[in-house]
Amino acid sequence: MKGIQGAGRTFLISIAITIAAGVFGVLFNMVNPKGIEIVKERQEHSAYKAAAADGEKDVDSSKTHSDGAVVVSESSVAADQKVEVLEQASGIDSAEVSLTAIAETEQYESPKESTDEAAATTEIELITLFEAKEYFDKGDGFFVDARSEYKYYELHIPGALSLSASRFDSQYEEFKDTIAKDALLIIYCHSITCPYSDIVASKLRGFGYTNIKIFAGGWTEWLRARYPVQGFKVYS
Amino acid sequence: MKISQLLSSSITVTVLRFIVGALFILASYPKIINPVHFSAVIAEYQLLPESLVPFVAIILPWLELLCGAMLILNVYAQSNALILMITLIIFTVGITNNILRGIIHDCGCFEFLSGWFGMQEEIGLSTIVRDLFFMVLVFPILFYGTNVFFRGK
Repeated sequence: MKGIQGAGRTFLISIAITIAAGVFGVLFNMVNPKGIEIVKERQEHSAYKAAAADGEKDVDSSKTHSDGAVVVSESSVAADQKVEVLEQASGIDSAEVSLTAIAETEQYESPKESTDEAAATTEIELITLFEAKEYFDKGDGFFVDARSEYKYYELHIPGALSLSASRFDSQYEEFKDTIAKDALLIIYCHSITCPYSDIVASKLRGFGYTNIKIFAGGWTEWLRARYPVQGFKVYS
Repeated sequence: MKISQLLSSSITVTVLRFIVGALFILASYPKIINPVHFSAVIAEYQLLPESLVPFVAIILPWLELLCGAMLILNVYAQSNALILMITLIIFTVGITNNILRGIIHDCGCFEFLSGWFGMQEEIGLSTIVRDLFFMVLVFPILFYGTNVFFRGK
């Protein structure tokens, strides 16, 4: 009985310590210049606030491509099924479509710039799906996939290079040998809520890369627009 | 001397408290200062919903720091050992799970190795073995340590 009471006491104190750590963590994060945004929506707005300058243009261009995709899908039911399979493979929810997010973004106030990385990215240009596709079609620059390598190998934008935020240091060793410092880099990650493009862009800029753009809508927008993809999960 | 006697001796527990405490304080420092990278690593483990990742990224390092400091000070040593044991088990499961799925990423364990010595630490069999070894170190504290605020004389 005493043993059970002792174990219970140990457990309760553990919970109290965990709560204390949580309080310390949150408080320190508020004053830490390198702190992170706790509320996810703020990252979404951060990514799109600058893009909101293009506002209507973004929406229109995205719609144009969505419409274009519909035309394609009408011509082939199989193509539709393929996209659905790809979306499932990437774990993309329809609710993540960023067309509405752009409009919603304008209802929010400016986000708090809480990290060096975030501050750095304010000077890095954000581009839309339309612009990203233009660069892709022209073959300008290099697309850089900031998602995990695992996701990259499953599916990615054709020709994109993998430079994941969590393995940046390892992958950068190879990256720096192949990509010139003044090369155009178009960085993307999963979606507008994903912070890894910002992290990778900031690190690359720190290493002297000067021509960096972030494709804020990222992989989700690209896939939903039914643009070309590459990877071992592409079904023929 | 039997193994149980060795593990339960106050000297063993004290030495282990200092070793484990120091390790976790060292592990916590870079993550507390710069949680951005750590949040990316936690997301890679794919154990948590994306919305919880920032919370864990700012709370877990402080948990390591608090537990490490309190272990060294012998304040509620058993409770702290319990927290660290659970944390180690979760990380070991996460690492094993990702390795089995072929997902390789930064460990997020001892980032000071990267910052101070330039050693890049990725998940692998060695990190699993190391975590298991840490569990062995925590085990005597959990079972034979004290659980008082400060030990009275």
